Amino acid sequence: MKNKGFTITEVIIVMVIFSIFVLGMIYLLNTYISRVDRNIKILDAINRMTQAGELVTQYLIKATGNATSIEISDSGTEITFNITLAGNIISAKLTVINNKLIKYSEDDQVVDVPIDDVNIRFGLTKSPTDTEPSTSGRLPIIVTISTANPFNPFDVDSSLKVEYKLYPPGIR
Amino acid sequence: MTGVIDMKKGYALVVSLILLVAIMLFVSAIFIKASNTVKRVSMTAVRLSEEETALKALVITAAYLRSKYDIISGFSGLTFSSIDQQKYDSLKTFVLKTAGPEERQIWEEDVFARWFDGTTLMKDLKEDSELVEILENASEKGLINDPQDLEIACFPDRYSRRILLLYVKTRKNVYSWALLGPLTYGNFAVFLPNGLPINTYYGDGEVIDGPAWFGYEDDNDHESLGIGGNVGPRFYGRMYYYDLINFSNLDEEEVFVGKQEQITMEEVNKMKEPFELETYGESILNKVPIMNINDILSSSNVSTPTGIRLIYSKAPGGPDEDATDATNDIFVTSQIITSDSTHVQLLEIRGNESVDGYDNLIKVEDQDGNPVYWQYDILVHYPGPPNCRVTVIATSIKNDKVETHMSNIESFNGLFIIRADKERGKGQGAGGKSPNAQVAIGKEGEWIENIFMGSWTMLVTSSGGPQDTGAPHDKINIYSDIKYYSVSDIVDDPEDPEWFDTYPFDDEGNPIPDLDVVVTKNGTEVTGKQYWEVWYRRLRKYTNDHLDLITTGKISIPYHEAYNLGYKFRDLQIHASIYAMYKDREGPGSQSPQHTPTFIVDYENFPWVSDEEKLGYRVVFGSIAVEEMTPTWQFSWWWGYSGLKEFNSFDKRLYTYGLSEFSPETGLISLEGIRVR
Repeated sequence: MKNKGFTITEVIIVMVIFSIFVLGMIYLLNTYISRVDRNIKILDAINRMTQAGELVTQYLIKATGNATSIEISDSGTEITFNITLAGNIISAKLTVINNKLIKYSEDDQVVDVPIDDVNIRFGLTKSPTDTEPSTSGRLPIIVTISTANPFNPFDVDSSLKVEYKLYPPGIR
Repeated sequence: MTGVIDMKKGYALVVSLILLVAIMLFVSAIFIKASNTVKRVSMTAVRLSEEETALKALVITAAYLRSKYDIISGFSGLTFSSIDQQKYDSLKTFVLKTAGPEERQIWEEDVFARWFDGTTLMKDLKEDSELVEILENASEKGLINDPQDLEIACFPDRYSRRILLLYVKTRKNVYSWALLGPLTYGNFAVFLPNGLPINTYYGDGEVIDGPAWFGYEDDNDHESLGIGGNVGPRFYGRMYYYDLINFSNLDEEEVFVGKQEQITMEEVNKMKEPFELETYGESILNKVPIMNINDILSSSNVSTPTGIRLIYSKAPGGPDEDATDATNDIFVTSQIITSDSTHVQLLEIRGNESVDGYDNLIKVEDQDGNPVYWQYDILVHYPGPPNCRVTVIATSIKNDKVETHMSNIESFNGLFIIRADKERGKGQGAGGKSPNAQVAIGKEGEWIENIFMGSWTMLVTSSGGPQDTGAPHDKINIYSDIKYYSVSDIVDDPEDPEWFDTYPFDDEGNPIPDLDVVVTKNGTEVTGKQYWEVWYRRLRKYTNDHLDLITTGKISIPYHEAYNLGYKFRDLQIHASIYAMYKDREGPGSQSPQHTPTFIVDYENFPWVSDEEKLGYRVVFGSIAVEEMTPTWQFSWWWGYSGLKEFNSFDKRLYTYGLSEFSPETGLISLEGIRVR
């Protein structure tokens, strides 16, 4: 009688070989995936910070008038500036509420501006030699945007940071 | 059978395939995620690069356009030929869509509706080979991307071609745009002995450089203007700095805080040019629609936008340069009345002529040279100019016949000119003299709050021809307060804090500067800045009032009895920008002396008081542009004090690039409203 199946030994051998292959694949894929994932997270973080920077720049570029009219709160989460347009002065303000939201106001009118999981702080330059942002000082305006470091997700103090230095063209 | 597995149904193959598919799906998901992220990042990077190019190209183009501007003709040197309403409409839509909530309203009402709507002219700046070369050069240096991909164009304002709406559009539809316009004398530069001020209001001892051109060393033996003067703030112009450096032993650093450049006499003379009435007239006034008041009265309704010009007749001559008691020709008072429960500004214009038992008449010669005597009332409807309704009511007397006239102007632009013309048949021939205009705001012996609503430009001047004592010699005498409607007691704003008082003086009677903490009348301690913020909020909220007070000669503050309160002298509030201009009536090369345009307080005729505290203040809320600023008070060990102390409060709204329509210009241009999206 012709045996049409496999013996248990044959099956076990095949399964062992297949398991080794799968485990190898899983290991390789896992390494690749975590590398890709980390790179994606880095790219994503850079993208989120860049977009937030672009957003904030678009507001701050409107600042006009005297450089001393720019004021920054002690916490660095609020910046006020003037917008002059056709003989009118608008008192504008950007307030960071949390890492998901900033509020932009012109006089009494406020609009919500969503941001994507980034921390934003405003500062001015204390002196040409001192590059640390300060709440009072001179141009440029320093916008620091940071987000959690994907390489070190368990360390809350570890973050990625981008710094923008802005000279709004309308400020003298 | 034991020990043998039946694989007929291919379980192993199916399991393998499922595993393979699962792995492929997983890998694909990661690949898609990675690809999307890379795409997003590269899109952001491209967009940033495009925004950078758009902004830099805008600024480069604006810098290039400076060379195409001059005071007389504005940007008329550019040929605005093409017509592209579609581009204008799409830019307008984009600007409005992307503007902030408050900004949107200003773009809509103050920029597009006022200056640009209705014009279809455009200039494609890429047609300009010089600019293209500059942009290509910038691209070669890596400053911008390929300029071939850029669309650069501008739209001129519909009236004067002095303001451009400039835009740059990139290949990826990133726009940058801005308004390019003249820098006027409403613009301040600020210098203090100890650095730039934290804010923009001034207090005792502060030193302010005015709108580029005013301030002069007093050559009499009166109180000279010195840095760190201890009474009130001081306004100094560049001329003063020039003298100070040239004729003192001070180092430049001691005078120019913030490294102000030193200017030459040549530059000084160039700065005087925009302050010639002829230049101002050619550059701005002649391009603004204006009608004579009697022509307005000849029809019942004027539907086109216009200003008002009153030309009165006067015998040659007029006040001597130093005369303080010369008779005023015209008296202007401005008060707010209520009509149909809304506020209306009533401008009463009277003269000093009497005929047939009628007094306070203004002599105006008709077409045949016959005298007709007039009185005018101008009713300005809320919210005031520009573009407000005005009713002109007048009474005329000619050959004993008294008539009443009335006309409506549907859109008053805010320009009001009073001009003295020489009476016919008088002062003719060689050496014949011209009249000097002399106009009073308020009345001698009365304290009238003159209130102005909306944005006004009031010019007092006279016709050409030589004068007795040189030119310019026209004069505005200010007798009592000039106040803006929004910050007058007439407006009761429910949003005001309890401590707010429209009278900008603290409980001790001192003017409120920005940097100090002051005690208000109800005993609350506030900072000056808090106080002035309420002031500005009101100005924004109501009628956005502004008054340019311009004359070719002097703006003077004479003494009269209404100053005297018994225990002290009144404070005089002037909410206006003061401009005293030149007027060369005799043409170039004349040997006739040119007087210096001044802003003066007739302090020598104020009574002496023993205590400085009894002096009132002259408060100016606005810009001051005159060549000579004389002292406002004097001191004598023997007699005490006389005159008015000064407090010049800076009108923050003027700290703009000069896009107010009629203000005199500096000859420079600047960008405003820069955006990129």
